Amino acid sequence: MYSLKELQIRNNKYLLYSIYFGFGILFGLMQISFIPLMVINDSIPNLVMLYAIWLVLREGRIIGYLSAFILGMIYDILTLQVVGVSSLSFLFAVLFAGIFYRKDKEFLILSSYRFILIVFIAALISNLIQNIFYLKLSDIDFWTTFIFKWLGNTVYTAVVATIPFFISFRNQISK
Amino acid sequence: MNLLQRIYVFFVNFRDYIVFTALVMMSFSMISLGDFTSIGGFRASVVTLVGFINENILVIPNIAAIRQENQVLRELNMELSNEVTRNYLADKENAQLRKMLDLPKQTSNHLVFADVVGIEKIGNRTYLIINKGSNEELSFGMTVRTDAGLIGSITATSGPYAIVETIFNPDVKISVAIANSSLKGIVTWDGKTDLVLDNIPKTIPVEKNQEVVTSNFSSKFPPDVPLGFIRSVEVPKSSLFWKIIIQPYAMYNTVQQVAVVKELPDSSRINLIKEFFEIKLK
Repeated sequence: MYSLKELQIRNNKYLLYSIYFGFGILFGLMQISFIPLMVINDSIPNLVMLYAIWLVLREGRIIGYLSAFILGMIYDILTLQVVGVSSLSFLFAVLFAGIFYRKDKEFLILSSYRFILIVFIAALISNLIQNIFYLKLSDIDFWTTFIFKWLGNTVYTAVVATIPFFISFRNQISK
Repeated sequence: MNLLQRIYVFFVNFRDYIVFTALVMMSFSMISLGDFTSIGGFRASVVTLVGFINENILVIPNIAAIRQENQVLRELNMELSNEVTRNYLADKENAQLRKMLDLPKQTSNHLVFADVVGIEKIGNRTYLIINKGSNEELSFGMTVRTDAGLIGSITATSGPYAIVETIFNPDVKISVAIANSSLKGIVTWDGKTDLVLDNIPKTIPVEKNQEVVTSNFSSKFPPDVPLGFIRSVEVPKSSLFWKIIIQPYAMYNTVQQVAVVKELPDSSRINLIKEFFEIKLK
């Protein structure tokens, strides 16, 4: 059940995708400015990846894959990393999350606790791929850096996923 | 069904996986292209944007970091006040001896001081954003340090900002020397908060609390920049080498101000090494 304004936006695909893209840029900028202030024990959440996972569960697999690819590029460009690594890792995260997409039942997933679990596992997959790429030719033990640097980010991203979960949950109840 | 219809049906049935595979291939292609954001002024624009956002968002002070930095500075101040007296006497003696030996006066490095306006954490990599860039003639490769010790080197610049790759990155290897000894080695980050000096034979005595500085073998950092002190010395099982853990003096997460050494690595030396290995590989 959508409100009239929501229906108008959803019917205009160009407007909808422009809004999604705008939010992608916004989350990318937040990731490099506001998010580092939320650091806990050297861990920060990945807002851009969370957004890609939310999109695949909201809009379906194809839109989700394309979003993950574009958001990964935005993330890599803004963080001055090798372009393509985040796209690849986000794609695999979204591939996993896409398994749980159900057409016309999107809010059942987004407003259930399963969403947090999906984000956790998808973030774990994505971070494992990034860890493999960034540790190439390095002497550092894979699991040491994964546990100390990436696992915290994974847990933190899953914790931040409670925000969209509660918003969807509240909307579901109010409807 | 003709062939075209079959292809169409196949595409419709497996469109999700076809799109996914195509995007994965595109990602791999971009990775293989390497860092194409460095082309033209694109990277400089991104650095400016990131620096601008960080400088204007980070008006909220990081209280925990400031408190920790104050504590470190107080301790350092105490040590320095004692050292100033010792150095005054040593400097006087050194000047006299240099005069007697007719040696030229040593010049100190030209430093540019900058504020840290942001920290970027990309997985296991950490970068600092500072509010001085190519406008101050800072460029790629220049060493960044604090009063305590080495922080890293500049990896990208724009007009008003620069990005510093800290020594807490898996790719960074630092040629070091143990102060007051001829022992030299390569230091790498241990993936947590310390640095590791490997490949020092057990036959060479190494003691705790010895100071570690950058060596003159380094083609990246200038010599004698303090790095840290030896916190522990271990012998891994069935190994002939020490595993030396170094506690760094400067930690990226407590740094508010840094100094950039306006000195670039000697390119002729690097080119000579490159040429030698190219000839040898042929």
